[in-house]
Amino acid sequence: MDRLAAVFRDVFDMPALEIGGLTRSNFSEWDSLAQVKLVIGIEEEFDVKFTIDQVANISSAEEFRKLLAEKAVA
Amino acid sequence: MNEMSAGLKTHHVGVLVKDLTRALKSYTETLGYAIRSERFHDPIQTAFVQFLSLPGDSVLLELITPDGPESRLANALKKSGGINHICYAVPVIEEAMKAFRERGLVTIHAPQPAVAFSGRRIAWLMNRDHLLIELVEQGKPGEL
Repeated sequence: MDRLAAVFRDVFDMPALEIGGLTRSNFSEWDSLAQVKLVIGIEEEFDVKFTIDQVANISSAEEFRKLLAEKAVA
Repeated sequence: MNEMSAGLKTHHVGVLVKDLTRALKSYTETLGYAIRSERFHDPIQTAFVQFLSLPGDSVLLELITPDGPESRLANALKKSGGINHICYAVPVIEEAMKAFRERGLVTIHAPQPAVAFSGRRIAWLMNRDHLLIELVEQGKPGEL
């Protein structure tokens, strides 16, 4: 199961959401509050912590995936 | 000071309403609130806000209404009005934010001066239950 996708689906309440290619600019539901909810959900799911700059600047699902890979949790 | 609380004191509860004038009338006439401030435009919340309080109660009520159709609160109001956030006064806002970040809260807006509080700074965070939390620098007695 894709745990990252599961967090996105939970935050946006869209059980069929596909996160490949998903960015803040191509998905209008992804506003600043959704960003914070994603960070909270991902930090909880993967037991990681993002920096304040990362919280502000992450702008795609792929970036979350890369950061998790760097932290060796996904 | 309790270290876990970072010196928090409940400052106000923010309530999202469709019509500020009508809500003011409702809260003053039905619950006995008194108006404590003029109406302010808050560019961070993209809203008009006004503060009330109950006689003898130190916790304020902030009525909030979107400042137009493009307000970031417009969608929230479409879904439902009601309680929007809780605001806590803190002695040192940076220290409180650092402590809360370590405890898993996420910053939405870094500290910046607020018109409603005579330039005292406010910051916004969210906790893991998705509760919106506002922090405001402690004011002097008698200030909002």
